[in-house]
Amino acid sequence: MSRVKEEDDLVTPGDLISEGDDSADSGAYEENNKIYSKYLGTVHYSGQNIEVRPMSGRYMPSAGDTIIGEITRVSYSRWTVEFNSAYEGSLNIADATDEYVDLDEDDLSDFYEVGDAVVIKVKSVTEGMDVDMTMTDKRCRKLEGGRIIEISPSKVPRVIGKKGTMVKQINEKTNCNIIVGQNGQVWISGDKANLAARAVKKVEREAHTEGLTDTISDWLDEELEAMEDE
Amino acid sequence: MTSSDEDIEWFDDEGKRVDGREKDELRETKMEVDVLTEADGSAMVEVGNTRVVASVFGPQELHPKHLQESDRAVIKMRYNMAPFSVDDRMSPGPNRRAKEIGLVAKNALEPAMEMEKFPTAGIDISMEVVESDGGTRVTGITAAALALADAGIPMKGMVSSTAAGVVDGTPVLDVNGKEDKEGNADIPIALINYDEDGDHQGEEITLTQMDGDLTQQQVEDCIELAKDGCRQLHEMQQEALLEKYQELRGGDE
Amino acid sequence: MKLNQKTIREMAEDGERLDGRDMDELREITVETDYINKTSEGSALVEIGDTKVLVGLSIEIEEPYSDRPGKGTIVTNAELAPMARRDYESGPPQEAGVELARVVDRGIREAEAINLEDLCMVEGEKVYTVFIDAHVLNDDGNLIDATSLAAMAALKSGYLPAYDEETETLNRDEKWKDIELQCEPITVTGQKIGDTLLWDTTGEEEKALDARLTVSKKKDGNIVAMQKGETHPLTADEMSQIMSTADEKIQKLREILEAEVGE
Repeated sequence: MSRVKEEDDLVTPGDLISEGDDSADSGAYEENNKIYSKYLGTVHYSGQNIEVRPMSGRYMPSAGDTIIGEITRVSYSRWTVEFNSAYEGSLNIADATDEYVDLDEDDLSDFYEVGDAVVIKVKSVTEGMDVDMTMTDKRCRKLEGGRIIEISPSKVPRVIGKKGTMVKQINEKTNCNIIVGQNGQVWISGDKANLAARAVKKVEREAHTEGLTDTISDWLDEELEAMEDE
Repeated sequence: MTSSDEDIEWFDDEGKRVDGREKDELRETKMEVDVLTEADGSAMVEVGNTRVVASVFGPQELHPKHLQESDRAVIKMRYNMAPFSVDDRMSPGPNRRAKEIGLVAKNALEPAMEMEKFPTAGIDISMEVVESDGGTRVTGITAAALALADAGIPMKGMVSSTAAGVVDGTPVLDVNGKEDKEGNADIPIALINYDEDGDHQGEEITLTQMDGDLTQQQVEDCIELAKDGCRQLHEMQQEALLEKYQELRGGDE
Repeated sequence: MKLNQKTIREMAEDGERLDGRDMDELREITVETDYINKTSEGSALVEIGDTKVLVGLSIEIEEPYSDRPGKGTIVTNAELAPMARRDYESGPPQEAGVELARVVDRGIREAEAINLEDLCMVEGEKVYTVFIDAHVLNDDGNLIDATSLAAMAALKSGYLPAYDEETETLNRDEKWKDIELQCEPITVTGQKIGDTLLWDTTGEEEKALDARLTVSKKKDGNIVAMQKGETHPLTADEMSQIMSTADEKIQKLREILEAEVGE
């Protein structure tokens, strides 16, 4: 077995990663006992499994993801949710609330209206990409105020950080409330929301560099000092 | 052969072409990725004086619904030349030639893309020719492949594209505007490329067209020339894609 | 997202914007002339923030209109390329492109930036037509100002190719003369969200826009063209405010233009 690329190497589509006994996981494919990359991304070995994590790509809904979306339609017994994807989600009345709802009497808009931004969970995704959503997780809620910015879904883990350390750091230094959706939509609320937003974008840009937590920490300190001098 | 063809000295005493190039030499080529912020992926490629900007939006919802395919994505491809991209102004908007080019370009890129990953979705690819001096469709395809990679669309390899032609009986690589107009053939080719540890490979040709009057041997020679040109372009595509991230990493790749 | 629109409105009331700019602060502006090397007789790429507009001139030689035998023509056209924004992919809004072209054109025409008689080659027979083609590549708001600036830069750095009387065609490799501008109108747009006036709105801010007023002024300060846009009304007072504040914005754009193309 010969590995042409090492852990964390950057590869482009069609680049040979390894020849021999390895097998192709997400982002890679196999042909004639050789593993190639499907993306511009980074190589990751896990035993004999090879994964390529893409640098970019629009969100593909996956069961269990907590995301930020917008209600775009209210029907008789369900809502439609869009979340920056090729696919939209369906929120059924049963998954929306624990309250008893009489469909003939109550108006679903009393709960969620068109235009509402929500933190919502992906319940299930079929092969044909029918997406069902649920609000019954305790993190789910309607969002009021603040702003929503977009980052690449592939950078979400970095923005959250190991055990949430990166987003926690930004929260604390800017005194903001930040919710990062797996779909790359990030809600930020607070006085220094603009600074927090810039910090998030900086993490996104420099996601693949080393020592990022310290870099961001130092950068935030500098920016805060500059703001005080004004 | 037109009378002007006889007047032009296509090769000088040292065998160099009208613009100083060797028979198998590409024009000066520049590539840049992520040139537009609204698109999901984008790239600009300049080959000599030909300059094309390509963009990708997707996967995204496809409208109208009846065009959706239940098990794969559908590509919508647009090729357009800006009015100022040619000497004599072109009317704005794609004409019939543009629509044909859109179709062959789509067919050049689709075989490399993992379409089944995005059932019912649409992927919109756009090529705007900003300046034209021969080889706009092939330059557009090379740029579109970069834009697709920039957008994170999974592909088995990178598609690159160039044209070979015959000028004064000799096969040449990457015909410029003048050689195309007055020369004897134009054969655009697109190839799916792989990098096997520095060895740029690929035998899958996804675009072939021809305009001219040649022997089979000449055609085959042109195809070989073009394939080699495609591999050279592939190397540049890789550099362009990695460049954005290389800088920040300290260039230690 | 609608949440952002609401926040933009609320912040505007407090004189604040999402990107931290002052209400009358312009984004970074760059102008690059001669962007097209060979096929255009004058060109400019303008970036305002992330908005990117390319203008290329095409010069043709044609017969004059019978009622103006000694005058050439200017034609302005604008394309909102589908690549410029996600919601343009299914076909850009037709009226927006037409309005953009006509507003940019009006500023140039009403100021008589070009003396149409200068474009006459042979009276009654051959005159120059200057096509100003704008191609919007990336739309992040304020297209009118970006396109007008690019058009001015292209004209200021452009030339008329030589006319070969024998073949009765243009020799594009030879310059007859530079395009001479009699005056240089600059166009800027003031915008309104709620009751707050602001300048240089981004794509996102534009979604919350209630009204806008575009003003084109000559160097002597006279206004040659105006256009009110969007669906809400403006008071006469707001219009006067925009016309006055326009002066310093115009001055800034003029400086940027002259830095690139000279006076």
